[in-house]
Amino acid sequence: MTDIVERLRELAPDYDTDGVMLEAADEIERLRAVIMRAKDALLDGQSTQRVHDLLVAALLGPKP
Amino acid sequence: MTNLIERADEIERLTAEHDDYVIRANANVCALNKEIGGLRAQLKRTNDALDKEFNNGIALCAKIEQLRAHIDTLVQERDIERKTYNDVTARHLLEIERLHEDRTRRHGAHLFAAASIVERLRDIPADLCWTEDKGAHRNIPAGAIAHEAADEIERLRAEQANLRAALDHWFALVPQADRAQFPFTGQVS
Repeated sequence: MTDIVERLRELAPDYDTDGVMLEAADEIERLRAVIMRAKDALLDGQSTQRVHDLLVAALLGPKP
Repeated sequence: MTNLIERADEIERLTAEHDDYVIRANANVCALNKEIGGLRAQLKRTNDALDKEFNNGIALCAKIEQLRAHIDTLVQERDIERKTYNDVTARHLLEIERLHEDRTRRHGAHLFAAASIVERLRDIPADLCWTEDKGAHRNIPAGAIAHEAADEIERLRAEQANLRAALDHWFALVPQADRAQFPFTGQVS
């Protein structure tokens, strides 16, 4: 089965009347990219403060 | 005759007294002149000293005026510097406040947008299927795809929240000095 993002983008041109499929694809890609960047930064040995700042700045998500 | 002799003796005595008086008077005059000379010399030294003090006083007054002018200049420079500092600080505070409000607004807008995407995806019936009519007929499980996307967004949001929580927990547990010794492993639930 293809990735969910690929399927959303395939579906969007014909059936996504309010654009929610494309928005969902963008949001998933954005979240994946930020998490990957944060984990790569940790593996590269960058400071945890930098990784934390990166997460806060890029995600602006709810603080647990 | 006797009377003449007596008078001559008297004249001689008086002359001697007169001479003695003149000698003592001259000595007194000399002593007084000497004392007056000393006093004059002392007066001159005092006048010279006063003149010197006066000149020193004038120089000191000029110096004091210079210092006062210098202090006034420094006070003006300090006031200008303080005003500049206060203005810059006020601008910085305004900018910080603006950035804070902007971040809060963006944060809220992002949460609303992210939540609304998930809600809109969930609003699509899970069993909704579209039939594609391009050559061969094919059923598109749009509802299932929408719900899978909603699940993926929530999973990713939970993952980033867990990562941030793990980092916050690590910051709280490990002092700054020990962070190289106990590095963050990146292990999150």
